[in-house]
Amino acid sequence: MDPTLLVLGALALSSAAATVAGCAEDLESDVGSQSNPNSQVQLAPQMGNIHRYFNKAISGEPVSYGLYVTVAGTVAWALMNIGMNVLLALVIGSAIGAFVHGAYAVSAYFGRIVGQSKSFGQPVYLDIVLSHLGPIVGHGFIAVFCMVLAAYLAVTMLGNPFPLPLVSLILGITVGAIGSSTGDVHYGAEREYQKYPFGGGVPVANQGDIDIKAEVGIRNGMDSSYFCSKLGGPLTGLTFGLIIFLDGWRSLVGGILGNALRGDIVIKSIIAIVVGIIIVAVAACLNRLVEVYARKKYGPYTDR
Amino acid sequence: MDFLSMLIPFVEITLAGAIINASVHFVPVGGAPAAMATSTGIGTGTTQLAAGAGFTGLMAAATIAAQSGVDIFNPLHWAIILLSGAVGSMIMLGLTMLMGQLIYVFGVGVVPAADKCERDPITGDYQKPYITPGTTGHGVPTVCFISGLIGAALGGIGGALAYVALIQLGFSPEVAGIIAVGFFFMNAVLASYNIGGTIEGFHDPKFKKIPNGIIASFIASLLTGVIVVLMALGI
Amino acid sequence: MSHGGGGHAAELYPENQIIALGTLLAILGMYISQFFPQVSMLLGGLLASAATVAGANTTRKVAAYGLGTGVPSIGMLSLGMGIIAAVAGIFLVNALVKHFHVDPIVLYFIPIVGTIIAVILGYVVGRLTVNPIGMKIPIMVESMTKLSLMGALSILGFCSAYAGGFLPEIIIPGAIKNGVMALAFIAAGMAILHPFNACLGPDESHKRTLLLAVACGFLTWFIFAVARLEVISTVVSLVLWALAYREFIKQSLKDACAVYYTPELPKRET
Repeated sequence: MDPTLLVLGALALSSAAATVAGCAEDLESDVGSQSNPNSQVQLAPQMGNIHRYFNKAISGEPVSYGLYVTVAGTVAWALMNIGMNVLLALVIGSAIGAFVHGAYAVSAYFGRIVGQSKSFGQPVYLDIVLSHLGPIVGHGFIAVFCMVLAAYLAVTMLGNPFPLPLVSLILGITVGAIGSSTGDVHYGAEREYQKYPFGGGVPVANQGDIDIKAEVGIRNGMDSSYFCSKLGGPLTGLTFGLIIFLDGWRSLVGGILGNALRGDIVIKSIIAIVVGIIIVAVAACLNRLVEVYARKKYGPYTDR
Repeated sequence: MDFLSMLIPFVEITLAGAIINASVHFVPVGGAPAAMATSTGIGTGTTQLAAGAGFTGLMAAATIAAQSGVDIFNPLHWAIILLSGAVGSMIMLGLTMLMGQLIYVFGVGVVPAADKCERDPITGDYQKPYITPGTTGHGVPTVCFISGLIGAALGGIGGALAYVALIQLGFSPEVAGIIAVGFFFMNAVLASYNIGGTIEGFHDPKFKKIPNGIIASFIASLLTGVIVVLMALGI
Repeated sequence: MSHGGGGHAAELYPENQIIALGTLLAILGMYISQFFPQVSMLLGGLLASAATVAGANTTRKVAAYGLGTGVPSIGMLSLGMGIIAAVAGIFLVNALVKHFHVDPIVLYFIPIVGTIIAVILGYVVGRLTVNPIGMKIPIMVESMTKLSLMGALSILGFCSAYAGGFLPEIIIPGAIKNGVMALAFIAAGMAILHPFNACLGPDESHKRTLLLAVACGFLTWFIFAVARLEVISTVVSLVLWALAYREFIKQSLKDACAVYYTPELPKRET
């Protein structure tokens, strides 16, 4: 078969895996309340809001996902070395990663809640720990498995010179960075503060005054993942899938056009770089369009 | 190994540290407050975002450098590796900022607005009236986006430069990759301590502190450069 | 990340004692891995986790001042320096032997050389964070030195436990070229930064943080044991982890103001 086609297939598969991974990663961080929006959950008891959120303060998402994906990648790599089937090895590796995830998640909940329990009267909810652990570890497993699959494809098919554990580390850190900078905003700025009217950031004075009531009953993290799966999660997945796809696609285009022009590696790389710059320019234009749209649609604040 | 073939990588790695540090100052990060649309920029930590972008660039550069027919000592190939790193980082950060912007506008319903300037220096739009009262801006306005792209390009170049220097010294890609990751983190955290959490981009008054960060990274990288060059004798 | 008040709760054990103990145990672990490769993961891994515990304890001390960028950043900085120092320790001594034709016996000083480089690098970077960067934490320099040291020792410790020794011809193919060092970087990093990051708050107690640090150290050991596909070390590390973890949960439940099993909010007193 044409090697370019094979590479294109591997690229498509790894981008699809990355899309699923990004989405699952973001929803997982919403169930568990991780990363930056968690600062509000942390602040809430001090402001008198006793809550039933999960408080999953496992450093930032980049570092924690770097850990799970690297664990999964290293274990899978070790299992492949003794001749195990690739898919099975990836699944077992991800399972170990999910176990580590669960261990860190529960310790973070107990640590953070008890760390402010006596001062602000925040009780420990054991039912929250038990009911949220499944969705956290499950979403995490999906994300980690997809990331390790993408890393495996990058090493075997896409010409990455690094060993599987190192690629896993880099991709894990990247997925965490993207998840915490795109999807988490939907959770932090909108979901946690739904009692305030839509449209507008959260003033410093209101910080910590998060919603503790849900649509029905008392709010917990699982309601948040339902809400965020409407916008935050899918967009996070799309971001990461697009990044993996476009970054690989531009070198593929460079290769194909370079071959057509009978150019050497320099020509191919220059075409790839130019294509990349065009992609970035398009992103910048789209950003400006969205900005102009928002300024026209929402308008300035007039009542100050 | 002769003196010149050690001196060039040494200079490269020292510069790489300074460039990585400078790059972090350009990336508009609002830290935790930005995740609540309380401050302008991307809603995550400085180091992690810069690392995410830098490592994407590092991988892009490493993939190019590993292709057959690439001579790492050829200046043209050298430039291509660096530019590939820059473009890889820019794609990562550009798309992240764009999607983050979509969530700010359609998910949270805020207008992108910078707090640290009266008018956007690039588009000339007034910013102050669009800021939610009680916050210090939100979203990724054009000036922050452009600043972020510059930062991503520098970060990619810095990461790629460190990697190339290590390869030129004779390290295998695996060893060079892991040292480059550690080196990147060290310089990125130094920069984030210099920033102190949040920065909007090159128009932010905090940006004036950039010389301190560059000097710190330069010295730290100088030391690392000495260590790494001596290490290369032991391959 | 907010620090919820931070504060300096009383210390159970002085920091310097823990650091000294962690350093000694981790170095001892490396020599055990080198000379008794058949038990390298069982004993070397166990002793390497001492370094992460000591690192976590130092993180607690320095991060209680409030870094402005969250606890994780200092963990990553310490591991960034640690990984450079760890690789440097191996390659520099190798350079002495290969390039300057020193007696190969110096290869057995790799852990010591790694320690020294980590201390130098940590000290210099610590000084740089105070001047010109201007961090206003009085114990910054000494903490950075200790953290860099613990980062390097835990990376070297786990890598030599995995490879079965720290001699260059063992550790370079056995733990660096195959990428296991990336795992050592992030897993040890999390074990160093997570305990305090998880436990911080006005009611933080040294006992809980240390218990969690021990549990995280054992968990890191468990990860390496699994990655090496060693049954005995995996089982032993899992049991020890479970014991430490159970102790941590018990202590947490004891220290909590109330423990509920049902969805109810406590009555407001005011």
